[in-house]
Amino acid sequence: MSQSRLEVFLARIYVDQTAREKFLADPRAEATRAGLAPHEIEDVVNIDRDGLELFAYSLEHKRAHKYGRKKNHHS
Amino acid sequence: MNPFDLPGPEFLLFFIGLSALAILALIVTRKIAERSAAAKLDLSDPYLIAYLRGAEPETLRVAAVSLIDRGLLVATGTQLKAAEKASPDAVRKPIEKELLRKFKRSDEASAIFDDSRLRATCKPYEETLKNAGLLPSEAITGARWTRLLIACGVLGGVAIVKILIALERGRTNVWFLIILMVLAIVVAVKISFPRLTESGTAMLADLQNLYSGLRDRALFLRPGGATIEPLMLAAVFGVGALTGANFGYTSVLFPRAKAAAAANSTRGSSCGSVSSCSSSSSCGSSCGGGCGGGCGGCGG
Amino acid sequence: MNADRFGLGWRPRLAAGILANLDRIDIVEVIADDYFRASRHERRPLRTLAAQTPVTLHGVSLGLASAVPVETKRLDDMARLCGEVTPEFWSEHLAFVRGGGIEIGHLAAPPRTDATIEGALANLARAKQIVGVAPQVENVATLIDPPASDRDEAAWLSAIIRNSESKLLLDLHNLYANSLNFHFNSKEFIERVPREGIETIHLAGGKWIGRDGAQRLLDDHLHDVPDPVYELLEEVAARAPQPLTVILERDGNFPSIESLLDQLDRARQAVRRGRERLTPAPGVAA
Repeated sequence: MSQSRLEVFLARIYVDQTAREKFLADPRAEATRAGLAPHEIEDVVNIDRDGLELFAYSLEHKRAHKYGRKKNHHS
Repeated sequence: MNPFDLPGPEFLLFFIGLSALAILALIVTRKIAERSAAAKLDLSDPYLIAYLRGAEPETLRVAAVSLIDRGLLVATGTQLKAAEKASPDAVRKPIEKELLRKFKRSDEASAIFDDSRLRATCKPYEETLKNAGLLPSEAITGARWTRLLIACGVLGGVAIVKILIALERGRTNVWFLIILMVLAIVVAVKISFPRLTESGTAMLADLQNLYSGLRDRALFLRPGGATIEPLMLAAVFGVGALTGANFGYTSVLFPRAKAAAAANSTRGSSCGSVSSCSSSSSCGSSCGGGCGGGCGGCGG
Repeated sequence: MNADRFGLGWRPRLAAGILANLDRIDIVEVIADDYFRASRHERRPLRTLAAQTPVTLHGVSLGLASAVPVETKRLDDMARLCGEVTPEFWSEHLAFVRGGGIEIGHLAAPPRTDATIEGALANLARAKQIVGVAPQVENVATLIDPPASDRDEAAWLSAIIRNSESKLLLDLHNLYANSLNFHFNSKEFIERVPREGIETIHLAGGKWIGRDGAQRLLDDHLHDVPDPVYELLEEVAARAPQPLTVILERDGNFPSIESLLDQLDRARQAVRRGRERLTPAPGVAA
């Protein structure tokens, strides 16, 4: 189902820095490679780039904080 | 096979097994009988929680620490004295009023444990906890005695019958059985009357779980009565849990409590509160993830 | 429930302050996910907490607003916890949190399309079937304008609320942040969502992040509730006559308990002001 492919695609570019950088370098190619529907490809090509970077930054910090806390618990 | 026909050594083994079963039955039936739905308590009263945890001695320790923290009692070495301007009228709770009266003149802190008037101020806490089913009421104590008498009756009866049969058969080496019978009865008595009911034990464990975040922060708690946190820490975990230089006087005033806290600190969850390590959620939760846990975002 | 209620999110750091001030706190919201992997013995304190004060359970990782069905195991976890604790209600977010085996690690706003509406409705129906009662559903804050959306947030949210048995947990700081970040009017948003569907309100605070010219308000739950959020609360109270449960969320950077209780009192005053201005819904005689 296209919507679920879109969610997978979004999850990947939100979380994976390499996937995100590839996407930002050539959004149409990456969206096509991910098997998104034509209208979805057009939408993600025009993605909110500022928001994407901020959200990814926020997620990265949340993960780092979570990992740091778990490390402290088990040390 | 009639167990009374078992030869001596085999019968002793049988009796040990019977004793173990009887003691297990006593424990299980008591736990079932004394379990009830979680009680609603006034958790704003640290003295009530302290009484649940350790009866009069603990309640008095916590009350003394509370007054010291608020500057109403002054600790000098092992002695306590009411502060110059501290008056029993300045406090509301009877236990605090009585402490201030007692220490109008300097005295050893340990004197609080033998003071009958001070101990009497703890009576309302005992009644509240009995009514909540957390301490044994008369009815519960009566039920405990009934179960104990039944168990002892069975064990004593079986042992006595075997002894009589042995004597009738000319066997006089019954001392092992007598010793086992006495031991079994002593153990049965010891496990039949825990201070707390099963609900009380569960409540205390649950409170210690709910407050475990406080224990993890013990070193950072501020003295001076600014917050209720030091007092709640003392109430839930004992005055020995108050660590750091700010509360060093507690180990001088109440060295046994400090030692007990040190022994207890090796037990308990390495994760502190139950929320610490159990989450596998995507969003992350308290301690398991997130800058602050919960579902707030993280700005770094 | 007849009266508005005001409560706090349960955090271990706040335990002593919360339990010592239950006379000023009507209800406590517990993060359900903290207890899914806990043993039976470790979950028992929740029942003790529920005996002291009304409790609600708030999930953070189901990912209800997705075209992908929520895993049954996750709903079973929630059902088991609800069965043990018997909360006043349970709630979750209209977000997606995973995709293709990747855990996003936070609540992500899904594309606002028919597919995610249908997915959310299907997930909500299953959630009700497994847990036994429908959850209240919360609007999420987002730093990114969800791509591939064909409608705005108010329309998307309203479609879900109107077509499900779920009530709305309206997070006013999430609304406030989204309205600033994506330039829409938050009061108009309140006008457009089904007002009779609002049962619970979340209040929180946040901070601005990002570089100059590209800043967004982050809902981090680490700051005090800002004034505009109290204003929005007053607006909701002036439009929704049904009793409201208002919960203040604070996840860290904790102030004193007195400060949190003062913020709760401020919420009470905002609701009181709103109630004094109560306007009937369109089509209903005054």
